[in-house]
Amino acid sequence: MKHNLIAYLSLFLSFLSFKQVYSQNYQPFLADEIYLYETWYTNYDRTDSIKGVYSLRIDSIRVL
Amino acid sequence: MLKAQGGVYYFLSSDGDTFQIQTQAPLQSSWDFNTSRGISASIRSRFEKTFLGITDSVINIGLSNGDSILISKNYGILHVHPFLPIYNAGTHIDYINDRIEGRLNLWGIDELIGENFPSFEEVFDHEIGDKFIKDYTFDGRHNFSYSFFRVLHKYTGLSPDSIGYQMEVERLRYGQTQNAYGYTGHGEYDTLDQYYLRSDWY
Repeated sequence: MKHNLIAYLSLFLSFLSFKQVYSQNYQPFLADEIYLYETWYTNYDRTDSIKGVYSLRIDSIRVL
Repeated sequence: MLKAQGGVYYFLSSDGDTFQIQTQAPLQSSWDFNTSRGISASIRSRFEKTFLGITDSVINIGLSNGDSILISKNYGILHVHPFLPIYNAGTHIDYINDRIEGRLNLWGIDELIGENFPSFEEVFDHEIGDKFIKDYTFDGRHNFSYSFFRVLHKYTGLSPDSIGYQMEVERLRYGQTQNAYGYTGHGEYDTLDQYYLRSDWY
């Protein structure tokens, strides 16, 4: 009985950790505006570069 | 952006294109990322990644055209390819149709992570003596023209929404002379007032 309880508890904990991994809600945007950069090479052999920064804004968010 | 159930996001572009991102799809199962271009996507892996000084859980979405998207759990997009043309410095940069290599990485999110976008005051903060090329044109053949600017004076007492400078401008043309290519003439000098307006800035 004691062993069964431990087995059930172990199964339950595994289920919880499984749920935790697969219910992770990755969202592309957690803010209306984010900044992204791109590397621009400034010479032909690509040894010098600068970073160009873009602002990316989401116009609207609708939940279906 | 449309947010649907189950971690599904649709991005609708101004020209009517739709891009679909799924964040909770099982590993390796694919979906149509963009039907008009025939690109499919699948989540290839989930892993821990360190970026901008922090470590977070990240999913790697692989696309059938060879690109990939990285999305972190707490900060969103880390890595993405520009799928639509970007209007920059008066030029349309079309990454897909013009086959330009391009990769956008997260630079920052206000009050959350990384660095801020430069402000109006930071961008137009010139010093007397600063030199730069501001105008550049190319006729599509062999002729270029450049405008070299040098800051002579900074105007003070303007409204907070404008920044003004007096500048010397030298216009030079590079192109075909009688027998060879080179700068044509010694350039034309001019002095002008340049005002930047906050309303023109982003």
